Amino acid sequence: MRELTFAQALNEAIRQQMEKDERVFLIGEDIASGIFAVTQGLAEKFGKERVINAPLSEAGFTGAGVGAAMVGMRPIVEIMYIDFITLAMDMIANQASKQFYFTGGQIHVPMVVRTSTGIGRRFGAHHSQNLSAWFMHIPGIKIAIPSTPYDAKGLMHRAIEDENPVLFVESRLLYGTKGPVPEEPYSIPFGEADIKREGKDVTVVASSLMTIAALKASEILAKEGIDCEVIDLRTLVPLDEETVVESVKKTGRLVTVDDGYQRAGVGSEIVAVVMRQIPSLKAPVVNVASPNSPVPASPFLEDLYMVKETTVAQSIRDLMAKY
Amino acid sequence: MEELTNEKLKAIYGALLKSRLVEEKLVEVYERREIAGVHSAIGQEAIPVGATFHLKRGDVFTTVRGHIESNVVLGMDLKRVFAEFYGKAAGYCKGKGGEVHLCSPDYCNIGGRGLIGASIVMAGGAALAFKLRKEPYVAMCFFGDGASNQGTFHEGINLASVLRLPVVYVCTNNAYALTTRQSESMNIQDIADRAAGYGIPGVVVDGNDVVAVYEVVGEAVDRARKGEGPSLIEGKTMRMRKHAEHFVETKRPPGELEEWKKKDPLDRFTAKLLQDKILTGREIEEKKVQFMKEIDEAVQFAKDAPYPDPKEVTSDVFYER
Repeated sequence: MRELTFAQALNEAIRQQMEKDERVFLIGEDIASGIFAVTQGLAEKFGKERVINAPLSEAGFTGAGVGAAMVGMRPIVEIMYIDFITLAMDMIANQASKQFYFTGGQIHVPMVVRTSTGIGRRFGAHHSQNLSAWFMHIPGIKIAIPSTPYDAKGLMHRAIEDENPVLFVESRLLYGTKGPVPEEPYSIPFGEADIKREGKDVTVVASSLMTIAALKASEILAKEGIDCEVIDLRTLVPLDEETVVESVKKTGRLVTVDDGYQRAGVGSEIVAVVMRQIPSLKAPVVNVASPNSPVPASPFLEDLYMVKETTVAQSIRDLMAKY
Repeated sequence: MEELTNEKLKAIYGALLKSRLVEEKLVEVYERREIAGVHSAIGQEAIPVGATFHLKRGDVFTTVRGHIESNVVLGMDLKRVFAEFYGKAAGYCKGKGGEVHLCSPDYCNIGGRGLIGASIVMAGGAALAFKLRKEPYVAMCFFGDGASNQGTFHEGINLASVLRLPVVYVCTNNAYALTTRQSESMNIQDIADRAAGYGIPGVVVDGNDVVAVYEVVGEAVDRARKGEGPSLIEGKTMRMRKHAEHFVETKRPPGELEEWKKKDPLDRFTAKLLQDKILTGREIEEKKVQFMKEIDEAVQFAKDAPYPDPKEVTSDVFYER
């Protein structure tokens, strides 16, 4: 099969949806200028009316997306870095997500908010975080967070076709990674995790870039006789509880891997889900995550800060040694 | 803009009178603690009434809390309006929106927000949809002096101006944001002055003169429909009651309310129509009786109506076809 980069796969999904559905339009900062891989070529093809360069005003253009979706459009809003989503928080966490509920089902908001994460670029505390966990807390918003080009395209198709607000979280460190991607449009259902590696000793639950780190860690550990099962969640909301719980029932051990802050993170929720359904495990759970401190800019400090395959491997190794 | 015929003036009068009666009834039922609260617009009705008369099917408007007037003008069913205030299943939002979120897209109303100023950017989004679809519709955005201090005011109007979106911003300047006077929250007299910063027209109008509001907003709506972009209209009025009925009293300069009572928009319009012999005192009395009957029936309907099904607590979180 033909190979595409992660960014090209997203671009293709958006282009195919824009060709099919006139209601789809893009709004965000510098997206019509063609400087970002994911939106490259779209303004040339569909015009600057449909690929709108917005002023630097996250609340303004995200709110414009919400308003347009409320009257029947299917906007794709781009928040360049998830760090900037704080400026649009009311539009996402109070307006888009609760609209369908508080109107008693009269008005829904089919909107995709694309945004990016990525520790390891030496950009410091305001261009690096992964704040996905915040949105798991809010009712009414779905979260897609792919790890491969194939999943990126399929989940993007699904996100644009969804009738609800979808936060689409892309790792900038994955944009250049390549993988097989079919040319025709296809959709990956939400709430279906993907077991990216089967194993019997320990269940490793990850998403996005951390899935890749977990898979690399598993290869290291396989040589040491530790057999990891790696589950790629693909969507945080809805969460595929069944796949996770069934796997932990089999392995008896749970490690979560996430590059958001550890406290009240994605991993904390996975643990809660599992422990509500399984009375006891063979070992204490492990949440591999970013420290509860901001992301430093210094290359030396950031390398110590970030979750890598070696960090994941060491955590699992320690766990298996003790239990 | 549609000409102000005598028929039109009578219709505007009817909506102004009916709005006042609904507002008074809401205060009355709140005082009996039958509803959770109301942000009364008594004395400010002329701005939304005069403005909303320009909306047609396909247009939308966003509201402020307790926004009764536009709903009255566009003919929303008062039974379902009161049912929403009472938290009943028959409410437009099944009782799940309440006073703050009461809406019905069938009557152009895409709702209100608890976060003041949020609708300023969202109205622009609806207008963007109309522009992308090449539809002749406008989005009318109602908000107050307090909301004009939010960042969303700046971001929303700037974006709408740059994209030349068909939005009409209608600011009801009632001098108070909760208990804070305008003079304590901005260093300008006229919020309309802010329009210059976005390169759009900004117009001040006597907000207690319903005909003046009708005319000024009409020009802005015409401009928006012609693709000439947004306008900001500031109607000057006075909040005659507390921020909300359940809220603390507002400390006011002595005589303020008495002075503004003399400028009451309903009294003024009544006097004008009587003087111009467009309506008679008897016709006004008949209207009042007719409206009160409708309102009392609506209240009774809301009181008798069943609460939502318990499953409504967790339904409508996601829309799945």
